[in-house]
Amino acid sequence: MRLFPASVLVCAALGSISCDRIGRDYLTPMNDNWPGVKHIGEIPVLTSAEFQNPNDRILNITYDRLGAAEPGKFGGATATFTSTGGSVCIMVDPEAVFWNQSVAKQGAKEAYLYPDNYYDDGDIDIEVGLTAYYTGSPGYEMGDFAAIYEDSLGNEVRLEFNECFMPGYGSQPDAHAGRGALEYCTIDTSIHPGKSYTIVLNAYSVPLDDGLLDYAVAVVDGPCADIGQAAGGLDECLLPRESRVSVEDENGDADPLGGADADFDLLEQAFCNGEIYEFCSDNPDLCGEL
Amino acid sequence: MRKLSITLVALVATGCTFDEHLPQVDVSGKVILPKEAATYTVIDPKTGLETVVEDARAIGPVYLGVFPNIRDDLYDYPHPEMGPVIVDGTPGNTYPYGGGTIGRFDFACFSDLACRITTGRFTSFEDILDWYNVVLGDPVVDEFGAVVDSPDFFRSYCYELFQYTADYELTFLSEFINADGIDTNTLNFEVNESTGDYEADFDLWQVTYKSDMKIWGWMDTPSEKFTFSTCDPDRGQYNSKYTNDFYYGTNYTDLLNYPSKYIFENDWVVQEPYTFTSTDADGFRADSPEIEIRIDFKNGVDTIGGEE
Repeated sequence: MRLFPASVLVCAALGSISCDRIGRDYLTPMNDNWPGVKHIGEIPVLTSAEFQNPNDRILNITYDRLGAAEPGKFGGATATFTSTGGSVCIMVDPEAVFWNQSVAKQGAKEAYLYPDNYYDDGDIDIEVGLTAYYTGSPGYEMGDFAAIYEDSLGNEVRLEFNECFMPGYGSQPDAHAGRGALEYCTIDTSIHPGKSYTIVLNAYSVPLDDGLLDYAVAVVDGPCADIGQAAGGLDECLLPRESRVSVEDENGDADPLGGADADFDLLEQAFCNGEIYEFCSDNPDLCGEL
Repeated sequence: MRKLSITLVALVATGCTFDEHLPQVDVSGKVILPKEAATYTVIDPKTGLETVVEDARAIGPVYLGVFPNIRDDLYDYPHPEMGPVIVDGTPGNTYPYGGGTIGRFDFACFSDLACRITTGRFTSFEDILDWYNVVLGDPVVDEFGAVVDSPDFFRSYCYELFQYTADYELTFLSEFINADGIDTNTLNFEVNESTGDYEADFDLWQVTYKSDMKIWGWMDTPSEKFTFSTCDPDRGQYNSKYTNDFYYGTNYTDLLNYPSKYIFENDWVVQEPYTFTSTDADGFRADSPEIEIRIDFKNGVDTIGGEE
């Protein structure tokens, strides 16, 4: 009998603690102006000439924005491109910049002594396949490139037609580079020249600070290794200025993605120039709390 | 205290008999190869004289898989049904439910023997040297091209290479004294004295059970140079010690998924697959049927449904 009041007390204590940990702070709210599922439409396959120069690159790559998806639904964007008949490189850079804080007691890397701002990062992963195999409804519901084969005994086997295998942050094959980092893959379109391919940009996480995920996406003719070598690396700095702000266009109309976010632009430049410590020292509000 | 003891004993006993009702089953049975499958034609390189030898050492690795169905209309030999062709030039995947082998490729210390030694076929170092040096007339050579004719040198070379200290650590040897000091024989095939056929036990672990699924497989017959089409000489462990520059060789990884890529003339194929009749995995475990499979269709010689 003594056990009964004790168990009641324990349950009450546990209950009161659990009520304090809803975790809603880690969920991004939906935004009426920016849907969580979006279809960008057809994007061009850029030639190396259109992509090589950073100034041309900024003009030619595609910038866009996603909101958080409805709870319980997958969010993301889709785009299509027409295959060249050769290798093409698909790349996406979600905002913003991410780095691991250097926390070593000895031999700490000074550049990364400041922590990253955890709340301004999003994460997008790529799948690419023939549009004919895509199972989603562009702009309404995300899908994949899987089909089901049923053998003669009724056993179902999942067939995967996704052709995009992303390298990880350390270039390990078929992995994920992670939050804020450039994701890319090369696909060979030689078997299906002139056919429509769909790029699926799965929104793995949406930034917690504003519930909006800005990103840059590009399709470039040629294998990623060649493009990265020519451009100085397949990293955060390849697709610059992905955080966007609204500006007025030449007609005075507001273009919600028309300009680069000046603060982020400086942060990204500092990161790419190896000057993140100095930048965070001067702009601690744009980095994580030390 | 007494009640507690009884309860504990009861709990332990229950644990020992707990049936998880897994949908996967372990399948054991017997494979029968006709004695012709153990024959090998040795050609004297000098005279061109052909000599036919019958020997268990001539039996290549045997691959067994469990498939939804076996069809006679896909190739010139019975072959599992296939899924859709996804890549041009590559056949459809058979999507097997499970499988296993009787014997596998093992590296017997010299690069000359890479992809040429199957486990469960050779009793000893002497047995290997006898097969290659004497029977086949194709002596084993070391990395300098010198003929290996001493079993003791063979053993010492292997111990040095693998840093082993006993024969039982070398899985390509089938007769040895095990770690407990007991004479052990792990040869796969035995001759049935009444029929002359070769018989071996097999195990297929954790096969996903479907009623009406079938066991099918084939034996990889050695080539004229006593190599095997199912072994990839560019895979396996890489040896770069001193001036060495070679792989140990191992089987391809998609043998059961795409068997037609590896089955060639003179390979022996299952013609009458074994069909599982139990309704489900629990039923199969309860029935515990005796399974016997004959691998008696010689590809390129026999015709489906016909006489040789």
